[in-house]
Amino acid sequence: MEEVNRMARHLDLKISLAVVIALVMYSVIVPQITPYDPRLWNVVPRDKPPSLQYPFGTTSMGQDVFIVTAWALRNSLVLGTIAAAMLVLIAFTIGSIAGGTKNSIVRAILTYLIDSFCVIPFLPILILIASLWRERLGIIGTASIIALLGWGGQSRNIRSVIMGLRERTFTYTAIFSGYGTLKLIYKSYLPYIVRWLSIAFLFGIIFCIGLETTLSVFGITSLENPTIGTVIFWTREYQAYLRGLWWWYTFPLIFFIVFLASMYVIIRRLVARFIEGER
Amino acid sequence: MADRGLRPKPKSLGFMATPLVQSLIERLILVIFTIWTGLTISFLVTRLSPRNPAEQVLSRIQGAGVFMRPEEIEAMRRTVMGLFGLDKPLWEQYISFLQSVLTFKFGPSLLNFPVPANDIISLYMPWTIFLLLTATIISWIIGVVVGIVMGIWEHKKAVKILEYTFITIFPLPYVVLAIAFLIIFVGILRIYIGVTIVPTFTLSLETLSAMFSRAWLPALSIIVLSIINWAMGSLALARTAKREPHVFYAMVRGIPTNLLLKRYIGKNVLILQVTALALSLGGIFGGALATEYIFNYPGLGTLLYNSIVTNDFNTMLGIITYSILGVTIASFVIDMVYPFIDPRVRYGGGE
Amino acid sequence: MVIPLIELVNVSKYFGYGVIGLVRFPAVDGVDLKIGGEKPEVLTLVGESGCGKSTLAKIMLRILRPTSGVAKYMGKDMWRLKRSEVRRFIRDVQPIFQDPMDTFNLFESVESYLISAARNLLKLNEEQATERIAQTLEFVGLTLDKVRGKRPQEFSGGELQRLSIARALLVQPKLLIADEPVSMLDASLRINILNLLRSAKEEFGTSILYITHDLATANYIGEKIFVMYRGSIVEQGNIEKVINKPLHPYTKVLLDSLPDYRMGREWFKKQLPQTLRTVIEVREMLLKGCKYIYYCPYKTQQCYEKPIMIEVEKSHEVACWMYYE
Ligand SMILES: Nc1ncnc2c1ncn2[C@@H]1O[C@H](COP(=O)(O)OP(=O)(O)O)[C@@H](O)[C@H]1O
Ligand SMILES: [Mg+2]
Repeated sequence: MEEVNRMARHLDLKISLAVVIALVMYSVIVPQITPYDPRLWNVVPRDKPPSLQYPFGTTSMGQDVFIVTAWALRNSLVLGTIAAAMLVLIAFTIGSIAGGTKNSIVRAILTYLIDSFCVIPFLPILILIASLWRERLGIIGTASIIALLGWGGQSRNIRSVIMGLRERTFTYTAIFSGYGTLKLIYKSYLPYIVRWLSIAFLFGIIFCIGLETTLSVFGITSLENPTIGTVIFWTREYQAYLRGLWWWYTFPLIFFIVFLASMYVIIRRLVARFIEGER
Repeated sequence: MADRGLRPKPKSLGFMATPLVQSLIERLILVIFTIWTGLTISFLVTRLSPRNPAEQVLSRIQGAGVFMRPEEIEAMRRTVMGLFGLDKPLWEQYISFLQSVLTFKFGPSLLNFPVPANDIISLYMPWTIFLLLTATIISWIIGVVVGIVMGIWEHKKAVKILEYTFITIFPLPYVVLAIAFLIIFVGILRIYIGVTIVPTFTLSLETLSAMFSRAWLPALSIIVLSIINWAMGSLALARTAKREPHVFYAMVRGIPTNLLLKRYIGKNVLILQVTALALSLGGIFGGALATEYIFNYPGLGTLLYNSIVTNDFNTMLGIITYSILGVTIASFVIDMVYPFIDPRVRYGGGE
Repeated sequence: MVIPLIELVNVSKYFGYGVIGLVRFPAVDGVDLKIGGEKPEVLTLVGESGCGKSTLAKIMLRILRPTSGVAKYMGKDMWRLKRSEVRRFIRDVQPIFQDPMDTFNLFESVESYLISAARNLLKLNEEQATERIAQTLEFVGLTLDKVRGKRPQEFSGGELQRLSIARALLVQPKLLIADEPVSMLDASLRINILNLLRSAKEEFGTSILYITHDLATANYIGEKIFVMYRGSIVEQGNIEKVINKPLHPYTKVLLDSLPDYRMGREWFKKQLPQTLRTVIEVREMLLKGCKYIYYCPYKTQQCYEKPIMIEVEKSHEVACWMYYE
């Protein structure tokens, strides 16, 4: 708690935390109190600009933008969180073995694997998978393929963190004080690893939400479930930009941008704190 | 000390050609491994997919109104399966897939049935290369310079404002920024018209100007986001560089700023950003695909989308093969330049 | 003859550099060394920074595995030891590191290292462990109350280095390898730490390998000296003999460049020899022959071969072809 207080002294961090909490609340509460399923069309009059009744206006599919945006944020967040959790799990498993193993063959193979997953242009492959398996991909499926293809960068980071820890002087001090391997990992490394994993996780959320958005804009996820990406997809389909339906895209986009930016500010502050804290 | 005699063979001083060769070989192994991993994933994905391209062709033929008896359909199916190599065991398909990669023969396109997929891809390829090359080079140079400059004057108010603008845009995926550009330039300003017809690429002024008139907006959206990307990276590196003792000492001593920029901070950042460029090419390429699709720009991204919609397997695999090859080889080349600009890594010998 | 505690036989350690790191250079190149005879002594390893002192120390501490050659502990290859022998090795050989701030983990109390050493290495029960810790802390001038439960951030650099010494001495090792233990400390604190090391030898019968780039402090506590240059040992022997009558051209230059407070400002006017001014380049590390060849005024064709260690007088050896008959 004391740490949170100290960190909250920074104004940008305060604002970002407030924004993230507010948006999460919005995306949790609004879907709870909506009277209808967001996947249904023509529940409200079409193409209405913002008014008291429909604060964010309505879409060409006859949906309330205020409600669709909440659902979209929620789905994007849920998907991003699940995907990020899986991605960090894969990245950590492979990265920590690559960074921690004494077996030089295992190390070489994993290092090559990590490096090649960093360089492979995975968006085309992702698009391919998503399009071929579209019918069967739910939220979990989409999250899984994002995690399976996108773990390279994070894995590389975790590997270098582990390798860095192994070469820190306090590792040798511990060994020469009779620490066993387990105790070394549990007592000395865990605090560092937990910190870096939490950063990797938050960053993974941004990364995975971005990928899901890209896939949805291509129209290759299940399109009836609103996410930020599918909202963009439908605005393109109905040419909302040319027809002057500004409310349809403006509100979801602004919420989305503000959310990602706030998350990013939080991550930056965390990283800065961790690095300074080590000095 | 008796067991140690004289060491044989007097050696001359200049003999250091080997390290370069060694690291070249090591990186080549990595490139081949990367390409192989990517291709294998793509292959497995298409083969394990629930859809069957042969059925797609058949239904297309039948949909065209040709009447066939059941035996004829069966014979036709077998022919088409043979054409796609789907009647063989998986490992044989894998071998022939690797062969097709080596010879760049991906079989017929389904969308334009008898035409080889390769021909269609090469029609679109120059457009993507043009877009990517210009956008990447411009944004890398501007972004790195902007980042270094921001790093040096980091306490100025204007820099702070700029940094927060960058922080807002930085975490966005390419598509969202592209959509924002689309809204501004097409929806509000109405000064950019997307195209659908693809002229064949020739090295004439006409084609180039046509390319430019279509490429500027997608390129702009990539450039803006990439500049921010590189600037943020360089800013962070410049900050680290400033904290290094010798740079700090130079600053305290009052070395003129432009010298500081060139000699101390700039060099460090530039060198590190070259490796970063090699690593991020995959991401940039993916971003370009999405951007192309959004602006309806006639490149590989749009083609990939069309082939996905029409289940054109061969074209899909072809595009993915080319992108894997292109990105990995490009990053290999950039990586190889690195030792020549990093003063700490020297291959020269002799006095 | 007694088996030396640690013996290095033609040990080399190569490091990779470059982006991925297949390109390699030797940080330690063909070193032979014996440490730990019958009676405890203070040995010093001297060389400019980057010459491979820390790498050599890590090889002797069994942290780094030599690329070629054998590092022996009690006559056996260090890397072929059984579990119980490794435990004995850790009890016999203890390190003290350069940066006291990095010696202990910031997330753990310093005490936990001391307790672990007493309980896991010495197999003491809780009471005995506390007593042992209190005794050792007293020796370095600290008390248990001052240390209990505190994290490294709460100590000063000097205190941490004392704690580091206490931690190493707790198991009463036969050899203490101290890698630049005073270079991160204020000059006024250095002499205390050095005295502490010296009295550790008297009190616990511990041999000490003191590694430094500073000849003055080496001369203050050392009995025997090894002079290292670009990964190889170029001269070794009794410290008085080496300092009074240096044989290797590099040792001469090194001694010549020492600041002398009596010279005052005059010292700055003295031209520093080129050897000491230039940055170490990889090509020098890669040399197969004598590494000093670029700067040596006496070089001959023979210097392109690796020089062997030649005993010029009793307990004074040099690796230079000039003295080869
Ligand atoms: N883990 C490592 N990887 C690569 N190079 C290293 C590593 N450790 C040390 N070196 C290099 O080996 C040389 C000797 O280093 P070191 O033993 O630390 O020197 P010293 O302690 O004498 O200053 C230096 O050039 C250093 O850069
Ligand atoms: Mg050192």
